[in-house]
Amino acid sequence: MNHVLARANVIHTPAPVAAQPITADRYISTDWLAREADRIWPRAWLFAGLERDLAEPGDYRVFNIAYESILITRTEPGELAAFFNVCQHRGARVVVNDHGWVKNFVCPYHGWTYGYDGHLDHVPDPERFTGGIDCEKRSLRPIRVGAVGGLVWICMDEAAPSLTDFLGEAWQAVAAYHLEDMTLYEDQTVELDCNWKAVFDNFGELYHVDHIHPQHELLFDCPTAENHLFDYGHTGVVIDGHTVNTRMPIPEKPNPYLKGQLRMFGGDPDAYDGRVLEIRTDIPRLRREAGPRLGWCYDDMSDLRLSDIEQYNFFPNTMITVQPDDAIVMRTRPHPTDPNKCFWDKLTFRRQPRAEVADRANVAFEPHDPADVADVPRPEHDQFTQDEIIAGNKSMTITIDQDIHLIRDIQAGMRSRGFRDAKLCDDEIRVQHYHDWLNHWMGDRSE
Amino acid sequence: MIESEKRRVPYRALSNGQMIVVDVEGEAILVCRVEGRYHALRDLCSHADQALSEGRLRGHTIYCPLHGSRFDVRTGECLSPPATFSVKRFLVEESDEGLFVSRAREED
Repeated sequence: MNHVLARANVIHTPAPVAAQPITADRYISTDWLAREADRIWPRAWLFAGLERDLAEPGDYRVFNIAYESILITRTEPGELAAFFNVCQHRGARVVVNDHGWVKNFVCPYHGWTYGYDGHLDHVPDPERFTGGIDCEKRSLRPIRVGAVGGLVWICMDEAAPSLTDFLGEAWQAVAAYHLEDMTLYEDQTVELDCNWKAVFDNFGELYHVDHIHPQHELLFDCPTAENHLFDYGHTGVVIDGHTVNTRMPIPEKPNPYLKGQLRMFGGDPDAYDGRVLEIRTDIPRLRREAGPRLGWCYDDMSDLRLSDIEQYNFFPNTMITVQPDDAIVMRTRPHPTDPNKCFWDKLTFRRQPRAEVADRANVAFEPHDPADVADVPRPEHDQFTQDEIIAGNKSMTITIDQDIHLIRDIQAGMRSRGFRDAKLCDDEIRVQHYHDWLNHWMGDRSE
Repeated sequence: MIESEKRRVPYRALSNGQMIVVDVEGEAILVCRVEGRYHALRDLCSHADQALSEGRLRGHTIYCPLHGSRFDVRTGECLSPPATFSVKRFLVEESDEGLFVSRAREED
């Protein structure tokens, strides 16, 4: 096998605590769920929304995690700001829907009014407060907020490291793909009957791919993927793309998926008869040649990034899969009270060809017609249950649908007296690394 | 359509994304244009005493400036809390003589 594109520098940063068996309690116990709400969610940087949804002062998004509700907005000077979505009068939610724009933040209960900067600007009938009200002390309680690649992150812990330090090397890899230049095409949430970590684990290993995602053997070489382990429990995997599963017999001719990928970038599929493994090595050149026609620039991307697919899991709950022209940003959120339920959010991004070249390039990006990026409306958020996926009424891509078909049974197995702990293979090293860090965060972190 | 006063809107045309307020039979009506079509709603949030015309119009959605309730200008449908009721919709007609707004039929 002629691997012209070879990687180096596999990163294996050790976890701060020794590996422990992964037992069922963390998936099924209400005590675990409650401790996560005290020890994980208030202390880590959490992906909370998109910068493009906060374009103007007064635009806001609400991010709910465990029992907290976070209000994120943009101030008049144009800075991002985030606050606990809690009125400082009696604790009501200041904002009761999930997104929008307001002139001021007016609590619907008694009308306390806050500015975009969280300052308490107005209290109805202030003379009825004997002793007056200190508007500084009664302003909305701010929390930390930052944005990278168009993604907004919040952190409730003043003592936590900076956002860029926290995301570290794993984010540097994602940043190379310029998510901020991609167009949002889908915004979905599925309600699942499983613990939020069961979803995260599923994206921490490729061992299952040969068994439940047979289509992947026609596109990727998962068995040769390289796992990376980072500080703070983040992990990553880099997979050979534009190729086939090399554990299987190598086909003589490109399969329909590979033919499509070649044609998209002006390659001739017939030229690869008997040379299927060379497609991957030629794709970077074909992309670079096709890029200007499509309105895309690959100048600052390496050949490896133009051929492969990368996936990064950011502790504690964000998963990002990236290729040069598309990305999926996913997040799992716990149900506030039931460890056997969770929410799985999925945002789908694609790089849109320029309108004037899309037709000529014969690129079909379903379900949207070629159009200028600015003209693609922001998709509405669509939330549904796993039963709607299983019934075929909704889809989050064939691959994720296949995962969802299985995941309720995994949770049921975790609750069984017949399950003791997980036995992980070498390829599941990311799962172990993540849970080692989880143990560290759930403990006193003094080790 | 219920026979009622047709009120000429003091504009021959609005730009896309633009909205104005006109008085029809003593009622403030918000008239807007989105993607080339005209829509008209009662200029009052169904939740609190607040003119919707002081909010933001984005696409077919109008945002109440007070508590952020959202309404679809095509139907008046309430899209988010704290409002729970629709906003009354009105008919807008465009003719050679300009724009006219009048009360919509109840079944509309």
